[in-house]
Amino acid sequence: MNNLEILSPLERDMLGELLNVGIASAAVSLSQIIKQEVKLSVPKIAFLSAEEMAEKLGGDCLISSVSRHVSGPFEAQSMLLFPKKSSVEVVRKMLGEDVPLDMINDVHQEAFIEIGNIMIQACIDAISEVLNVSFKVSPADYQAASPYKLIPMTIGSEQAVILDAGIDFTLSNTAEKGALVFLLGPISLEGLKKSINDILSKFSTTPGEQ
Amino acid sequence: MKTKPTLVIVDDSKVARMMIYAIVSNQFPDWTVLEAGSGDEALSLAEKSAVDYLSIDFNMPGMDGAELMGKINAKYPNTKMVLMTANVQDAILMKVRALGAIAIAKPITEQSVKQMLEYFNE
Repeated sequence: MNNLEILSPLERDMLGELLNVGIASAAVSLSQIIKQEVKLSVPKIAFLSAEEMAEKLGGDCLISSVSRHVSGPFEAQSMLLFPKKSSVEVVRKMLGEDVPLDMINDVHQEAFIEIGNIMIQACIDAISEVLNVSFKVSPADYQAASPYKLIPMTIGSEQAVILDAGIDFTLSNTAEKGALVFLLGPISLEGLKKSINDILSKFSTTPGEQ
Repeated sequence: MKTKPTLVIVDDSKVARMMIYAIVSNQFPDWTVLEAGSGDEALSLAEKSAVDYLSIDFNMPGMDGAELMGKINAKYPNTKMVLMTANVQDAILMKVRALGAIAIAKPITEQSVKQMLEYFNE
C-alpha cells in the first residue's frame, strides 16, 4: 500500500520537510543523551502497510519499541524502533561504556523508555512549531517483539498506515540504526493533509523557478 | 555590502525555500533571491552570479550543507553563510563554526529567518 498519491507534490514536499525537522530534532536529543553524533539519512517518505513496515524492519528479528499516542488536529501513534541489540547499545552509550552489561540489561527497558520519551517529545514539539498547532502526547509504552507482532494492523477501528520518513538514525561510532515512524488511520491522514495545507496557504508567494 | 545583495536559498525542499523566500522578500523586497535544490546547483549559481549570502540546509541528497559550506568558503571567502537546520548537533555546529559561519535552528519561522537576516546585515 502506498497512499502518497493522495498528496500533491507540494503537500508531499511539506510533509517531508515536517518530518525532517521533527526527526532531526529527535536526533539532536539522542546525540545529547549518548554524547556522540547521530547521522541521518536523506528523507524519502512513504506510506507503508503494517506488513511492509514489518518486512522493512527485518520480519522476525527482535525490535525494541517505545510508542506514544499523539492527539491534536490529527491522531497518530509515534513509534521509536531500534533492533533490540542496538537499543541495548544505545542505553550503554547513555549510561557509560564502563557500566557492566548485566547492569545495563537490568535497566534497559526503563532507560530506553526515557530515551524514547525525550526523542518523541522533541519530534512532536518541532512538528507542532512548524504546523503552529498543539498536540497531547500520552505516556510511553514499551514493547520488545518481532515487527509482525509489534506494528499494529489497526489504529482504533481503522486500518493502520505507517508514515515512514525513510530517515534512519545511525550512531556515528557504531553501525546501530533506528527509526521513528508514525501510525495513522485514514481520518488522521485527512487531518494531517489539512494541517499541511493550512501552512502552505500562508506561503502562496512563489519565487521564480531555477 | 552591496545596495542590492544576492541571496541563494539552498534546500532540497521547495516548501522550505518558499517559506524562507516569503519572509526575506517581505523584509527586503529589493534583494535578489535565487533558489537551489542541491549543493551542486548552488555552486553553479555562485559561478554565474556574485552571491553575497547563502541560506543552506544540512540534510540534502548529494553533498550535505556542511560540505557545500566548505566548498563555498574555499572559493568565495567573503560570502556569508548560514546553515538552516533542525539538526543542530554539536558535531555539525563545530564544522560550521570552523568555517566562520553560523547555524540557526529550524523550523523556518519569521523569527529564525529574521535572525539569519540580522547576521547577514551585521
